[in-house]
Amino acid sequence: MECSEARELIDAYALGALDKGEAKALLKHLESCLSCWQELKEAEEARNLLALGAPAAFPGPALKTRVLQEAASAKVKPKPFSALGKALPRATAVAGLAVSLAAVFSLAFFFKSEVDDLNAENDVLQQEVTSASAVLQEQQQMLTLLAEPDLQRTVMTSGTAQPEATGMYFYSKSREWGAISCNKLDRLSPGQTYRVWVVTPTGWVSAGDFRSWRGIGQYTIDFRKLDLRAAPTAIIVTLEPDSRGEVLVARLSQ
Amino acid sequence: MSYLELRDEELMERLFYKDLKAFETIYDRYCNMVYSTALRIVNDNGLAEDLTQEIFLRIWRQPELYVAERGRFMSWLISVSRNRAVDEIRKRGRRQRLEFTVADEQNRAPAGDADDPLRMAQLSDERVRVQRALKGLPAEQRQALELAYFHGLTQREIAAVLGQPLGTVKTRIRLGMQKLRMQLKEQAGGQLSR
Repeated sequence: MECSEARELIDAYALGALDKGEAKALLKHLESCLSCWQELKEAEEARNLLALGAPAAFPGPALKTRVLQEAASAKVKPKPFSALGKALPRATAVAGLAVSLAAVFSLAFFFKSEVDDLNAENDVLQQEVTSASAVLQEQQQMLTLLAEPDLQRTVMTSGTAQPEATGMYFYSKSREWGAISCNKLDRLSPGQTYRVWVVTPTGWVSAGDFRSWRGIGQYTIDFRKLDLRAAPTAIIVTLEPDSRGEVLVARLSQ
Repeated sequence: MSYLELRDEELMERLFYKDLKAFETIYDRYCNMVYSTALRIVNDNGLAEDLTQEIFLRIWRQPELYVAERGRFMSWLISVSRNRAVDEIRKRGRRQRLEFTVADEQNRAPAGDADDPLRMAQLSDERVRVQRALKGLPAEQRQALELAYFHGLTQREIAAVLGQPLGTVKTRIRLGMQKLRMQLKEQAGGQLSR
């Protein structure tokens, strides 16, 4: 398809009014034509404004209450203490069998295994609580940073280690703080951690480690405490200690 | 700093931390726009409210859907609102939609009620700008754009609905969009706002 032909279709495409065949042909052209692609971006911007051509209408005040109540109830809730809820009825049921002498041994065995399970779950919960507290602490720092007027943002691209991961890097020059906020991180195995690296032309400097909580990870970097010999060119998150590659990367413009 | 002073993008960042106040500020800022868009498309108050609720809760649950680097928040939100409402009328049946379309478009006054002082007071500068630009289009071009945008019809479907040759509809859409873009650019001082 030639550019002249593409230009005939771009406005209709932006409106979603092309037939599938035409849209497919146009998309193929757009893949390799920057000027037509820019034309499409402009058309899309104008298309979006068309909504403002709708007569102004106002939803009832009850809608706001409904939306906010629903949002409040959808807030992240603390994980229920499932281990206890699971163990108690089973323990009660088994206790009923303890009238026979033979059952005493199985009961003892049962309790031991339940206690072991509870201990294991306790460790996991303890780890969860620690990770959640760390994330919460970082979030409080992050909120301070987000209020900085000179805040710069860089989208982090996901690396090979966890292609689903998403992230954003924030930096305030006046405060000399950086921070990363990651989502969709994989659950860590025991002993594993996420490490933040500040990359400069003279090498990589470790800025510290963090753990994730339910896929969320946050980490604040105080650049005044880092011994950097040159300006950073990238911020990288890796999975340690097995170094299975980069999890997230922010390339910084100089 | 008050939440009202924060930019949309800053409020959206706070949604990652489930900041309900930031969410409320976004809702207050844009609920009328989302609702108006949905209502214009589905033509049903209750359904438009349901869609508005669904769209805002989706933003609350998945703030990562908006990527600031790809453009401004308002444009993204308009796009999400329009697409969701068009999906809804598509789900409810194309036949019904086509029958409704012609009468609706013929009877509807030109977009914008610039003569209504109350409404004027409620419209943002941008709304006034767009409505002025739309009013500047020839009626048949505006009608073609609105059938495509607000009713999700393809050019072929618009031609069938209006009983016009496909080539005529294509020309109306192309000229209408070009004129709209040009007028919006002129009003914005050379470039479309981003």
